[in-house]
Amino acid sequence: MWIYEKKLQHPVKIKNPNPALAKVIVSQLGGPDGELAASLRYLNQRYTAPWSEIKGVLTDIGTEELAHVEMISAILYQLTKNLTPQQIKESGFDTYFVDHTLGIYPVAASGTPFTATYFQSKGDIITDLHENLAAEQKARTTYDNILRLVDDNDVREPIKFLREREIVHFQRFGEALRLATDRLDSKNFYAFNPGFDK
Amino acid sequence: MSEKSKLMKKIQMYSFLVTEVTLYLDTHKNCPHGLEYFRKYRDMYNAAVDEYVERFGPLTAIQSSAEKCWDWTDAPWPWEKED
Repeated sequence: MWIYEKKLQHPVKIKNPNPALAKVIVSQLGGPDGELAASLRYLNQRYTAPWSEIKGVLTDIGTEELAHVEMISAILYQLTKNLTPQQIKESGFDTYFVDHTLGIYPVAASGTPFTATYFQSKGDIITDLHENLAAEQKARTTYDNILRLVDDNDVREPIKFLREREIVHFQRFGEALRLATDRLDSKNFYAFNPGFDK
Repeated sequence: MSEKSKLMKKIQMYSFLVTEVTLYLDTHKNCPHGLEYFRKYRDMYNAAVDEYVERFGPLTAIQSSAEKCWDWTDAPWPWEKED
């Protein structure tokens, strides 16, 4: 089970609201390569994962992703505080505002609401770990793109932290894949599914 | 039932009581009965967890002894039936 800790994993302190930035950063909450999809991906995959170390990696990274959901939400909250209707209109944040006011809601930057089709839980550890490796790289690219669009250091700093975590998670999933293949038939990793075939 | 399962059952019971009274206290900040109930079961919960961790291993990664090897990921995970 989970217990909530009343702290962010890494501090978020943004002096200047900027709804235009919130409009793109929201993709890392509810977008195709966002933190919510990441967390649900790993926390769903772990049940049928073979080998206890891999269950551990999926549990611990899936849990850390929940902390990233909270960091992104804190960034969005601070970027959209104390806005006037005029600022909302001029920034293009009006299309979000009309449906959610300043409430935090998981959508992609395009406005598409979050969907479970953003991730897979395939019940095959080789397939799932490859999905996870790709997901970490896709999230890293998204953070790179966010950094290309953001000048404010108060925003860049926590985004850089989150980008770095994608790289660390990619490394750990690579090691998990190695642990898995070391325990499979080296001539044919796909000879059987250790999560299903006995 | 093994000693381990019995102690786990106790932890689940105390933990649920703490969860339940936490929700109650969230909306009844000054209720002396609620506060007393919380303190009582929080202490019983902490004692049971300390005993469990000492005898059977960590419930959270930070409780891992991390001495000879990393026991945090050891089987079984909670969704796996043990006995």
